[in-house]
Amino acid sequence: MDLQRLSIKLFAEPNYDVKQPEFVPIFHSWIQKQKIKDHLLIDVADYKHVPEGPGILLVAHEGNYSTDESEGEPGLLYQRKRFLEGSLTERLNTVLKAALQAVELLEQEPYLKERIRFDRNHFQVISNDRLNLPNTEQSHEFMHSSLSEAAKGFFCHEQFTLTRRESDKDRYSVSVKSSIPS
Amino acid sequence: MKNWKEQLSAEIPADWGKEIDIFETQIELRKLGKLDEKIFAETRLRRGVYGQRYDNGQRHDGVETRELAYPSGLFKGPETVWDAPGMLRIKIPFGGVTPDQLDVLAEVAEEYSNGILHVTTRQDFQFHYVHIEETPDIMRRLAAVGITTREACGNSIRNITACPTAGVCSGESFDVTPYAKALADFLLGHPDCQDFGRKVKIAFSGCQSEACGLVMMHDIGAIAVKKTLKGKEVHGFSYYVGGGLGTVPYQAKLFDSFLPPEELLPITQAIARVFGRLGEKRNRATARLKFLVAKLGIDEFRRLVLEERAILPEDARWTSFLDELPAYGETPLKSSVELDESKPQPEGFAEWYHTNVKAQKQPGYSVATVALPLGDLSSDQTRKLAEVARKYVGESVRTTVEQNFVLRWVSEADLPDLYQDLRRIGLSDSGANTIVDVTACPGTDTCKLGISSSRGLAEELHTRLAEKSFQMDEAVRNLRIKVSGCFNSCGQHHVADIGFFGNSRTLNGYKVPHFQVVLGGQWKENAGAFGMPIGAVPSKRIPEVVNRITDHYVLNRKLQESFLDFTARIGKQELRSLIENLMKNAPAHEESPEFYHDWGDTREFTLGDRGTGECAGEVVTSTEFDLADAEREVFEAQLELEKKNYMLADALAYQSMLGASRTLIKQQYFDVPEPPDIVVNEFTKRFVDTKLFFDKYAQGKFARYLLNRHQHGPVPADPDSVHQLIDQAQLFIDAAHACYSRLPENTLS
Ligand code: SF4
Repeated sequence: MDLQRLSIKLFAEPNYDVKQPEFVPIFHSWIQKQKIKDHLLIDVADYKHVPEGPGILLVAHEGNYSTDESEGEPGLLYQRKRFLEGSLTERLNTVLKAALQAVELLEQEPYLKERIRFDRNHFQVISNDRLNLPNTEQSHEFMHSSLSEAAKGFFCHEQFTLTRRESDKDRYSVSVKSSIPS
Repeated sequence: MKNWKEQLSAEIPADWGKEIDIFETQIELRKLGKLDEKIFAETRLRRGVYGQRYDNGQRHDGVETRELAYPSGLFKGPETVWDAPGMLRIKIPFGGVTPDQLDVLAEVAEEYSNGILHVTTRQDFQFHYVHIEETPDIMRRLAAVGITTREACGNSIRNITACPTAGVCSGESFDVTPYAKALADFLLGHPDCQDFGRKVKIAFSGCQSEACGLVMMHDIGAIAVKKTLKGKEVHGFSYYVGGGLGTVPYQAKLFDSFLPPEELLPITQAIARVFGRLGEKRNRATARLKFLVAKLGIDEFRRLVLEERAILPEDARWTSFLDELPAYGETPLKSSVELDESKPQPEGFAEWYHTNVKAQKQPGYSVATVALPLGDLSSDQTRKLAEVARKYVGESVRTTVEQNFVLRWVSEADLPDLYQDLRRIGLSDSGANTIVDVTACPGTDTCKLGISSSRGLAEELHTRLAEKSFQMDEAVRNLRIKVSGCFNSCGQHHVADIGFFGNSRTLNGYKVPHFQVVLGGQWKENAGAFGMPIGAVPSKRIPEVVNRITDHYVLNRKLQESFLDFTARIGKQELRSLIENLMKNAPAHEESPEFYHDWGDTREFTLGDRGTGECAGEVVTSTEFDLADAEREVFEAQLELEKKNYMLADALAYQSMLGASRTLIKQQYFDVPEPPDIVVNEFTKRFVDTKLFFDKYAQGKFARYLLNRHQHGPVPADPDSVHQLIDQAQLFIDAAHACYSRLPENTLS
């Protein structure tokens, strides 16, 4: 299956202490320096007024980054919008890598240092394709091996859980959690 | 792999499906270079696919304007890069949307956009950051639930709007909904509506006195009226034409005081034909219907339309919808039960009830407004709102021109539970339809034409006003604030009690975002009066403008005096004196760099993203001074208009344009003499013929304001004509500021 529109969310650790407006100048400076590899960074959009919304959006040609607060869980969401190449595992690796890049940059931001860390034991994969990957057990079975491969690469071990979110109106989405705290 | 085309083929109306397939092919043809980019641009606009800021492939990043190196090198219109993410506008006739439609809108926003639905000031939805290749599938998914994007943009009949409380409002003559729907269905894709020079906006209102339909600012507007004929009540419409906001607003003119329902569709069709045939095509700046009506005069326009009407071939659809009228109506989901006020209510309920709930004409039912900050809500909220609607009201949901939703037919006893459910999904903000509920166009966030950040300002005002709304005087609380990012008025600033539109000025050698303060607009009476600018104030000082004006109103109004009457009584001179010192004395850039940024943006302010050239040159003090003088004259023209000294007001407005153009000429020809003929000749030679004065998008429109006045002499001595000339003079001066900031240094010769 030629699955394309994939998203990854990495979650902020609980001692997270950054207000949404603080991301605005940071994202503008990333655009100035085109800081994210393989991405054309375009603009910043502010949605902090939307409760549990995308927060501050960094728009890129290849995909958008947002300081997402959906379900009350702050994190960094990478939403892939342009074509992904390779096998499904390779595509998952590509989006994971893109998300990780931004997370590392945020953690290294001198202005934010010490105030934001991201949990490397947990990530969420979302498919923005309800037609080809509905939120069903069948889809979960289909995704299982590729997700496991990608998770193995991410955690560098094989002890993790893949839990599908079950609300039928949601997109297919999986919580991937390491069983070994790092 | 499945695809939406096959998946939904049985659910999409055949003609809609075919149109979407054709559009998909046109996308491919354009990619292959086999479809001209100008033709493709209008094609996609007529499918609701609109450009966004930075789609010209460049952006000022706070340091300099840099190229955005999009990969494909293709264009989807003149100066519009193919790969740049864009906007998709979705038509919602009369704002009526069902929970099932909301579910699909939420899914689509999530999968292809950014998970945000934006409600516009014309009851549409907009998605941003959408890639053009994905729009056919989005259209199919929407079409399968009865939603079209066709003619949401472009030179076409745009979304037909109507009061969101139509059918349930105690003040209405009758429910305009089925008429608005019939007209929208009839005109969608109609062959007589395909050859316009500009867009046509149509609105319906259930009564004359309230605001909801905003008929007077529309190209075509219908207000429900009824009368008794031979002892029988009959329905009809006060039918208006030729209104519009835009750079210079026009009040609509009465076409027919009682248009019978069976004539609603054919007369509108006849207008479309006359407009298609006689409306301006080459010059976009004068192509709206309002210009044609003004040029011909309402009587001649009416004569031509009636002549056309007489020869229209008969169409069964003109009246077929009337047969279904008796059966039309909404069935409430729940039976009406009164609110038990003796029961303890949830925290915040009383305030929300006060501002967001309005009793329906049907006893025991209410309309509840779901206030959206900046017209935005997330996909997740949208889905949950659909669930809330299913639980309390079924299908009775509408969007509003104030960028909110209304839930109709809420049984009053359910209101506390409804409030609690809305609170759980972050949609229980109180203050709907009050000063807190600030409306804004997209402005510099996403609009290519935006000058200042209308959304940034609106959010700031909302936050500050919400904090003190509890202790606010009731008269202030009921005012409306509306913000546009530029003179084009998409934020409807002309009809607000306090309106703002974005512009810029050069202060201390830096460009500074400003807003013109517009007072004197009337929201009620279907947007019965348009405001006028009283002065441009730096963006960061606008909250103080609101404080000063509202405080002055509270302290000095007469008993029960409305804000409109108050501002008219005290006059523009006094109002301007309240804000005068905010217009000058900018802090040094080194001391307050944030003064030189726009709201919500940490970049140095620039007009470069709008496409106009940049100049960080030194300020020539005498030039600023001269332009300020021209501004003073246009203000004095307003004062004379207030005093009904129309001829003097006309002369002052004209003089202000001459003064501003002379200021520009002096950059190249310092000793330019004063006689108007010489000034206009020099101005034409140096700034019009060379296009130096041209706005990137409005082109030579503003220059023509001076040239027309000079060529044709004084405008008629009536309030409308003089009002329009003064508006033009203000825009001319704004353009002179912009032109001056673009002029290279050392142009003196
Ligand atoms: S008023 Fe100006 S900035 Fe606002 S949406 Fe319209 S054109 Fe854009």
